[in-house]
Amino acid sequence: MTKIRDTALTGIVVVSLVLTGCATNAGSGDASAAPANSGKLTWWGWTPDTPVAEQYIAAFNREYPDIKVTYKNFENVDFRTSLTPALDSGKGPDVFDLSPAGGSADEWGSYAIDVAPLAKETLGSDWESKFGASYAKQLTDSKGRQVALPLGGMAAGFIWVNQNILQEAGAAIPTDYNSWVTTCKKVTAIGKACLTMGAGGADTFPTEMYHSIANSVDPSYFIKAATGRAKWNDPEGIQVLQIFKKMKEDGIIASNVLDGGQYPLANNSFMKGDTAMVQMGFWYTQYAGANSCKNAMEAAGVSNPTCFVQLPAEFPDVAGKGKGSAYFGEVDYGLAINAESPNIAAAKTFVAWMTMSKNGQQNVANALDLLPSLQGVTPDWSTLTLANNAVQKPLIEKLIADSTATTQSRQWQATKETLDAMVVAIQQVLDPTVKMSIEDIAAGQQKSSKTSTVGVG
Amino acid sequence: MFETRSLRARLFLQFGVTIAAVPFLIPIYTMVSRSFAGGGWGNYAAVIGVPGFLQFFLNSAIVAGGSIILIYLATMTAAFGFSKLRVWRKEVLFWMMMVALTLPEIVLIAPLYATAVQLGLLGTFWSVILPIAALQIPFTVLITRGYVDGIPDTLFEAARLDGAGTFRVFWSILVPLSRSMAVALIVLVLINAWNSYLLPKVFLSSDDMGVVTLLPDFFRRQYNDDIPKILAAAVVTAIPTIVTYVALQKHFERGMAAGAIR
Amino acid sequence: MHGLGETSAMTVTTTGGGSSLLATLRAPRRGGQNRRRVIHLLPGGLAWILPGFIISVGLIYYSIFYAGYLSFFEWGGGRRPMIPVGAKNYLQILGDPIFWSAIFNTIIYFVAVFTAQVIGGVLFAAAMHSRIFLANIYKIIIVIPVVVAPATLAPAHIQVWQTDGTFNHILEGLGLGFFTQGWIGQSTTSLLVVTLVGCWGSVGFGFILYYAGMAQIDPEMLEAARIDGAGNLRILFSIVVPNLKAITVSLAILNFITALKLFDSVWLLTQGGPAHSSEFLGTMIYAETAGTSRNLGLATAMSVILIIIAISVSVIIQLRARERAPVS
Repeated sequence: MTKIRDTALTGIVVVSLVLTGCATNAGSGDASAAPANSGKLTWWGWTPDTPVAEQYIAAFNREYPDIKVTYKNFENVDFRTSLTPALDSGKGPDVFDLSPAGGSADEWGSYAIDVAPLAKETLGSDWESKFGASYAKQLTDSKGRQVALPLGGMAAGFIWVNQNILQEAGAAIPTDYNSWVTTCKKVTAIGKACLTMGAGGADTFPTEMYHSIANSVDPSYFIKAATGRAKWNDPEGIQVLQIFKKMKEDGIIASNVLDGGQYPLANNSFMKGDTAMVQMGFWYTQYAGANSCKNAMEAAGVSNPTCFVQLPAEFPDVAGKGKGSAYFGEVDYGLAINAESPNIAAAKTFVAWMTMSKNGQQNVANALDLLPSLQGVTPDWSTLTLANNAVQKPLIEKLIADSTATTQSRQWQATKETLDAMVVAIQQVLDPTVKMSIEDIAAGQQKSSKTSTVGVG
Repeated sequence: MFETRSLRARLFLQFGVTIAAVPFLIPIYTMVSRSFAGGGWGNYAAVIGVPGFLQFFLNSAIVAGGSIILIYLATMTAAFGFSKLRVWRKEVLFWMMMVALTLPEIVLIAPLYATAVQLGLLGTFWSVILPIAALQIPFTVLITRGYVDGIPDTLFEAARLDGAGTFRVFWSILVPLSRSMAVALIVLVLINAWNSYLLPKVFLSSDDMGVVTLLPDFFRRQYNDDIPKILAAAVVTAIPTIVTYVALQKHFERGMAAGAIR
Repeated sequence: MHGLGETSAMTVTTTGGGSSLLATLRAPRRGGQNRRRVIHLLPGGLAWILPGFIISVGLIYYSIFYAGYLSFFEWGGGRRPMIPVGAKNYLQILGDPIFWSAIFNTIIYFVAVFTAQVIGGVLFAAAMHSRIFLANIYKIIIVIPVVVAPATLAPAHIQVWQTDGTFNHILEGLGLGFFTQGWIGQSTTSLLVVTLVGCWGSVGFGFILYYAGMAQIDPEMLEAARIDGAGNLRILFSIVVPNLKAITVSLAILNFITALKLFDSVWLLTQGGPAHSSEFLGTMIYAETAGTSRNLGLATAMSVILIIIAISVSVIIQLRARERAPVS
C-alpha cells in the first residue's frame, strides 16, 4: 500500500517538477544598452523572403562580421499567431517585423523598446524628416512611442502586365474600362486568362483592388470612408462594388477569383504565364530581375522557366472620370527590438544599420522589393540585371519616383474590421451564387466596419 | 458476408468496390502527381533540404513518444483502479472524466495559452504533450477499462491470495494480459500526436521545434506559395503514418476488436 | 473525424458503446452481488487513478472554468488590458447571424458525414468480409484518409476542388464540362466541398469499426437466414446492421462532436469563406483567438457555448440509445 502511494506520489512530484522545472526565465533586456559590435541575434518576419534576408545579412556581416543574425520567415497569418505567444513566453526573437496596419504598433509595441533615442543618436535631431513621408509616424503607438524604425515602404494602385502575352494576343495595355474589355477579349482568345485575382479566404489583399477602383471613382473617398467621414454605402462605395461585379461579368477578372487568396492563387497564375495581368504592389518589382523571376516561376510550378517581360502599368480609368488610380502607399514594415531580449546591444547595431545607414538602405533599394525608407537612396542599376533591361528599366524608374511621391496611405488608416468587411463585400459581389443586391452588400459592409481614428486631424 | 458463389457475382462485387474506391484515390493521386510540377524530384530534394528537416521528424517523435508514455501509464493505472480496485465514489470520478470526452482542443487554446505563459511552458514540448494527453486519456481510459473488466477477477484474487501486492498484481498480471490493448492504444495515440497541427502551431513557435505537420508551412510564404513543394512536403509527412498503420494493421484491428467490441 | 485522432480513440471507445461504452458507463456491472461481498478485501485504488485524473480532469476542467471566467471580459491577450464586460460577449454571439449560420453548417455537416460514414462503412466492411480479390489494398486505400492529418491533406483537396482542379477536369473528361464551377469559391458550394472532404476522411473510420464488428457476428446466424432464403442486402440490413447498432450510436455521438469541433480542414480549405459561408464554431473561435483584432473573451464565450451543446447533445443521444437498447 505505502509502496503504491509512493509510486503515485512520485509520479505527481515528477509532473509538478516538470511543470515548474521547464519554466523559462524571461530575459530582461536593457533598453539603454549602447549598440555593440558583436553578438548573436534572431530576426522574425513575414517579409522579406528568406533569400533576400540572407542577402541583407551577408551585406551587414561585411561590416559587422561578429554579429550573427538568424532570420526566420513566416507566412502572414502564422506570423501573427506565432509572434505573440513567443514574445509572451520571453522566448521571442530579438528583432521582429512590425507593420503599420491594423493597430500593430499597439499590439506589439508594448513588447518593443522605444527606438527614438537610437534614431536621434544616428541621424540627428531631425531624424524623422530623413525618412520617407510620415514613415516614422506610422510606426508609433498610440502613446507616441517610436516602436520600430522603417526599413522600407511600398505603394500600390497599379497593375503588372505580362508583355509577352499581350504581344502574342496583339493587345494593348488598357487605359480605360472599354479598352480593358477589348484587351481581355484578345487575351482570352489565345487561351490565357486576363486579370488574375485571389479574393478568397480571409486575407485582405483584395482591398487593394477596391482601393484602386475607389481612387478612379473619387481619389479622396477611400480614406474618408475609412476614417468615418463618408460611408461605405455612399454612392461612391456602391459604384466601386458595381464596377467590381461588372469586371467579372465582362471577363476582366478571371472566373477562379474566389478559389483562394491573392497568394498563392493570383501570384502563381501570373508567374506561370497563364494570365496577362495581376494587381500587385511595388514589391512585385523584384520579379523583374533576371534571376528572381526564374525562381518565382519555378515556385509556381514551371519546369525550366524562361522569364517573360513584366511591366508596371497605370491602373485603367475604370470609372470613366478621366483618371485611373492615384498610388497609395506607406511604410511596408519596420524593425522592432524586443524589450526582453538579452541581445539589445547587438540588435541596435543591426536595426540602425538596416534602417538608417546608406549601405543598409542601398541593399533594400537593390532588392527591388521595397522603396528604401531613407530618402535619397536609389537602386544601383549597374549591379542589377533585369529580364529585359531596355524595356523594364525606364518604367521601373518611373514607378519608383511615383511611388515615393505617394501621399495617400494604404492600410494604415483602416481598421481590421473595415478591411475584413471590405473583403466580405467583395466576395459577395464576385460570387455568382450570392443573390443580394449591391446596395444591401454595401450596407452590410458599412455595418461591419469600424471607423479608424489614426492620422486624422 | 456477401454470398458470391457465381463468378458473375464475384466480378460484379469486385467491380463495384473498385468504382467505389476511386473517389478515395483522387486527392491522393492529385497530391502525388502535382507534387512533381515545376522541379520534379527536385521538389522532394527541396523538402528534404529544409534546414532541420530531420529535426521536424525528431520533434514529432518526441511529441508522440511523450504522449504515448504519459497516456499509456496514466491509462493503464487508471483502468486498473477503476476496474479492479476499491475507490471512493468511483463512478462519480469516472463520469467526471468522461465529461471531458466532449471537449474540443480549440477550446483549450485560449486558457492553455494564458496558463502556459504563467507557468513558462510556452515553447516547451510539455505545452503540446500535456494537452494531447489530457484530451486522449478519457477515451483511452474508457476503452481500457472495458478491456480490463473482461479479465476475470479470479486471476487477480488468486495472485493476491499468493501474497502479491497491488503493484505486483498490476505489473505481472494486468500489463502482460493487456498487450493487444496496448498496441491499439499506441497506434491511436501515435497517429493522433503525429497529426496534431493546431497545438504545435500555436505553442511551439521557436525555430527548432517545428513538427512534421508544420513542414508544408515552410513553403507557404508571403511572396511565394510554392504549391508543388507544399504537396511534396505533405507526401513526405504522410508516409510515416501510412506505413505505421499498414505495419500494425492486424494488431490494431485486434486491439479494437478486443477493447471496443467485445 | 479526421485522423484516428482523439476522436477516433473516442470512437473506439464509444464503439464499445453498445457493448463497452454503455456497459462501462453502467456501474457496477458484472456480478453485482459477488462484488459487494469482496469489496472490503479490495485494496484502495485512488492513487492508481490519480495520475490520469489529474492530467485530464485537472487540465480540462481548469480550462473550462478559466474559459468561463475569461468569457466575461474583453481581452486582446498578452499585455492588453482586461475589461470586464458582463454577458456582452454572449449576447454579441447570440445576436450574430454568422454564429447561427455556423450552427446550421454544423448540423448539415453532421448529418451528411454521419450518413456517408454509416452507409459507406457498412458496405465496404461487408464487401471486405466477402471473398474479394486484393481486399487488403482496398482497405488501405479507404483508411489512408483517416490516418493522414487533415492539415497534411488540405493542400491536396484544394488542388482537387479549385476551378482548375482535378474534379473539374474529371467532369470535362466525362463530357460534363457545362457543370464545372469554382467549387471552393462559391458561397453555395463551399460548404459542400468541406462536407465532401469530411465524408472522404470519415468513411474509412466507419469501415474500421464495422469491419471489426462484423467479425464478431455469429456466422451461424447468417447461415440460418441464408437457408431461409434471405438475399445479401436483406441479411445485411435486417441482421448485420441491427446487430451493430452500438457502433452506429457511437458514430452518431462521435460525429456530432467532430462537427462541433471541426477546425483544421475548414481553416485550411476555405478559412470559413467566402463571405463566411463555410464558417464553423471552430473557425470562428480560432479567428477570435489568433486574428489581429482578437478578443479572447469572445473566443472563450463561444467555447463555453460549444461545450454546453456538446455535453447536452451527447447525453441526450446516450440516454435515448440506452432507453431503446435491450438490456442484455
